[in-house]
Amino acid sequence: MQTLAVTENELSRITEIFSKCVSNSTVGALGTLLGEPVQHHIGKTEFLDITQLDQLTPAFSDGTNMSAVYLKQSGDIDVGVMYYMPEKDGKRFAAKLLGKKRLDSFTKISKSSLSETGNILSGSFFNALANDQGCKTSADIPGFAVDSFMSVLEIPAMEIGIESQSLVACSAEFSSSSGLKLRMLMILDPQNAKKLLEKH
Amino acid sequence: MSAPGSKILVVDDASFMRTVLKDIIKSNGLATEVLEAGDGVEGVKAYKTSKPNLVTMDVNMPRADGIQALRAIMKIDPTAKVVMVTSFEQKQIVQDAMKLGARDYIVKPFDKTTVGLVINKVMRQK
Repeated sequence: MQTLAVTENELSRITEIFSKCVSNSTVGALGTLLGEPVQHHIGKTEFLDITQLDQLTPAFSDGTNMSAVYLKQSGDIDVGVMYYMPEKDGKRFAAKLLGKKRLDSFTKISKSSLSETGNILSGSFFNALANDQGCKTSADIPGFAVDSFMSVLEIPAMEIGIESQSLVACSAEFSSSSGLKLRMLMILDPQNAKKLLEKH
Repeated sequence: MSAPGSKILVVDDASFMRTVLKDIIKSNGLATEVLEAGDGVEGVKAYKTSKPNLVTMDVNMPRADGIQALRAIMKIDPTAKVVMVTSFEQKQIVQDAMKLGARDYIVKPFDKTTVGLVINKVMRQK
């Protein structure tokens, strides 16, 4: 299959759309979930070959395991979204959601709390995307994993980019006033990236 | 304060959300018993056997989703009090649910006060 090229101009337009939806919805949803103010930073949207996943830096220290939630959104466009943070921060995050002081290991309910966080954040993001762009999607059941950044990224990246052998990736980093950090990575193939821009 | 013997059924595939809703219901004294179901099929089954005073129903669930389960419950009991729980304000889904007989809806992420107010309001309806 021939790879569609995505231009710098298209990448910056995707960043704009992504940034708008994150600012208008995801930040507020995360703040409500955590019960504290949340700041965010939008990264540069990248177009990369599927063999160059290592170009996507984890934004946290490399040598540590990540707790990650992955969801696939399907509909007018097909998109993969992954939320991740270092494992120890994942435990802090889940402890906060569960109203506990600390969490030593991931229990069934703590995994559920992080999966549901992914579900809620994606819901708010894609609702904003539907309202702004008229781009309707629905979510799969979220999956939760703890592993190295490359391992947790590999499966969604392959699922989304297997046909085109390339990916468009947008990222945002959130930090709460109590120091919790979470990163959101949205990945789509070039064809779906162009569909998103056509909708715009 | 809940009436003695009042029951609320929480239907959600996420155990975390069931726990959160259960805590809100209990801490606000909205029911004396909180029952749980993990999907729409279990939810309908639980409704038939326990006839709760109110149901909170998640929209996105495996097997039978919230709309399918709502439809089935309204067929069993047209006076059922069902509050839909959606992770985002999907206007069309909310409108469909209200047409089918849902009494109200809650949007996730929610705060405890809003949930308490909505459940209390619907519990008082005839």
